Amino acid sequence: MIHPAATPPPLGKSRFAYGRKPPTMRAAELPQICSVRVQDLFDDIPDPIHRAGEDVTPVREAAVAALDRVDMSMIKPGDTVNVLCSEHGFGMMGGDAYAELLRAVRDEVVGRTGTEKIKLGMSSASSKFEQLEIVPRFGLDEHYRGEVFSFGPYDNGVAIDTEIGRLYGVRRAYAAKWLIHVHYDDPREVHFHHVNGRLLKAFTMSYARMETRSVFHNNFPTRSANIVPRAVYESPFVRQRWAFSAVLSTSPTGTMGVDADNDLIAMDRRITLSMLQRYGKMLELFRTVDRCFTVADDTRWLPYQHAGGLTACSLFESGEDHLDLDFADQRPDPPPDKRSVEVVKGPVRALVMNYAWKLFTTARVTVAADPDVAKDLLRIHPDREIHAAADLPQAMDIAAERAGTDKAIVFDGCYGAINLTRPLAEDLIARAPEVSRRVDEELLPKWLRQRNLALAA
Amino acid sequence: MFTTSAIVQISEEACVGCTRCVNVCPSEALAMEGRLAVLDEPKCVGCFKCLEACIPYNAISIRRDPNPRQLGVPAERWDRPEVIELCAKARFAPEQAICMCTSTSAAEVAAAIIDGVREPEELTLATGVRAKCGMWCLTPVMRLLAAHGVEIERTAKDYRIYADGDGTEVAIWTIPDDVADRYPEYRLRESLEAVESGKNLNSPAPMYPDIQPERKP
Repeated sequence: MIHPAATPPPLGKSRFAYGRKPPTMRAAELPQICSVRVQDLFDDIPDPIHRAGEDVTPVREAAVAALDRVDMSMIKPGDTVNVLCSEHGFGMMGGDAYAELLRAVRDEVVGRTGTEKIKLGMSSASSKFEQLEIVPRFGLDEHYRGEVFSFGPYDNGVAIDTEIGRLYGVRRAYAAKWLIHVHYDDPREVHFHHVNGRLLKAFTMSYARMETRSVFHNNFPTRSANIVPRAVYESPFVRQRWAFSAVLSTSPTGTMGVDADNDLIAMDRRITLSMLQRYGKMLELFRTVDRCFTVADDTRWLPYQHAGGLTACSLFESGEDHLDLDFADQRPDPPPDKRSVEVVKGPVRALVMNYAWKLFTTARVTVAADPDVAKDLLRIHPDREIHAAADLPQAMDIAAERAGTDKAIVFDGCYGAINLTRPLAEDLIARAPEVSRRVDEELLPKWLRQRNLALAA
Repeated sequence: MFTTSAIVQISEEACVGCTRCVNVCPSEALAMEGRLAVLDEPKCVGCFKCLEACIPYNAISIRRDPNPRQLGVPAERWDRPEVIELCAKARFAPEQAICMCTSTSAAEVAAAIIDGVREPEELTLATGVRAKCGMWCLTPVMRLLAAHGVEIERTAKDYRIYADGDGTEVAIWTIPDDVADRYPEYRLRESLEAVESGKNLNSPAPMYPDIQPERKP
């Protein structure tokens, strides 16, 4: 059940990374790192059609089959179309599967409707500079004939009048006769969407101005906040422009396929069911981790790096069952420290920074695994406790000492397996059977009941 | 409390006078002098929004702040009764961090407002709020200003903030009954009840919950 460390997707040089260079050593090369396979933990997680680094033909075939079921007759030759995508999709499994889906969407729309006025609009996560690294890497500028643009929350806005009041989208994202929403079902930020409208969230956090993003985050309890993107989706403004949506369907093992539909709500319900089935046990398993340190060793920002198909924020936020839509019966005792914006009381006691894009630090203690990384961390986060190690092995030693544990998990982009230290591997293996039972017998039935869903016979 | 560490600089040769940078600056550090954008250095908080707004021209770059500043209201001014009252009126716990990037609390912003700050851009300079991503903290700032009776007026051309979408009018406590009925899946009535009872005071999401699961398999 315990295997040698799995090989993570490669990392390249990035202007966004602490240190601005690829790491000299990956955590998977450390002698104390081994791996557990997600299907050894939970044998009902299905095999993927595509893994990072493999030929993308199965993704293309799945996309064509899914798009074949979609009505595109509303799009006429010469009509303008914006294919809207989000940056995070390119950070999943090396990004090749999401990029292939985007290429397939253009090809199918051109072939079936005759229009060539198709633009790819990429919602940036932190800055529009992301486009400069991402789009050329996947050849999307060439595939979209140079019609690619990036947009962010501070761009010029457009008012969208909805059932709940006026909200604002990014004008350029919506500036086409037809919209195609191309997304993914990664459970990233499950603490915000609770897998209750997962596919809708982009209407608030990808395609919206910052006013509307702030409304989503601060004016609604999270279990109700998806009314905001739902209201945008249901607005006359969006309905007039709506064509269809396509979604990269995933599991902790890799890409499972592609779904597509003219009815986003119907597809969201299908995706909700599959997400609960495929990711529920892994999310619950993370909740059993009580003390550890983490190693950041993947592309993208810290909370959105992957291990075993789950993003790191699933561990940072593992203090409660975010798939449970009921409010807690009692107020927490002691109450949460609302002054704190750090994960000082979660399971993560320290962080080794080997590679990540600049912005978030989410542990009180951060150990830089490289002097250049340390230099950036100290400059950008002067208020944090940051230790500078000479190299990754030394950083691991410092983190273990400061965290008071030798249990470590590596967020390095792996799907299908989790790279981690042996003591934590043994813990997860020991706990998985009970987690599996609890999800099958107690939690999954509750999660489904709360969403008015049922397992297929 | 937020400490600046970097600011921007503008290349006069590359600036084309498009005003994109001025339109996104949260602290009014940028202005136009004729066809050139100019920086008022002491007002730059290093959010770098202008940098990406200038992508087509690359006239703006980052440099180390030669005079790092601490932006914040002294803590002894946070627990005045009128500050606590303003926070409650805006539905915030005073100690609540309303800006995730700078850890600025509701009480700190409320204290600045009580002390006479009226414009969102002035609040950024007074407290550091909105000095980074700006996507979390805008609505709390506008709710605190509105609770103090301050109305923000902006022209349609000023897209730093759209005053009619600033978050003071769309919230769980403004959802119409028919909408709550139409979308039961979002549990809107239940959420409102939780908010009104204080079980879930307004901010929904303890960003990082501090309760660890007790049960172990």
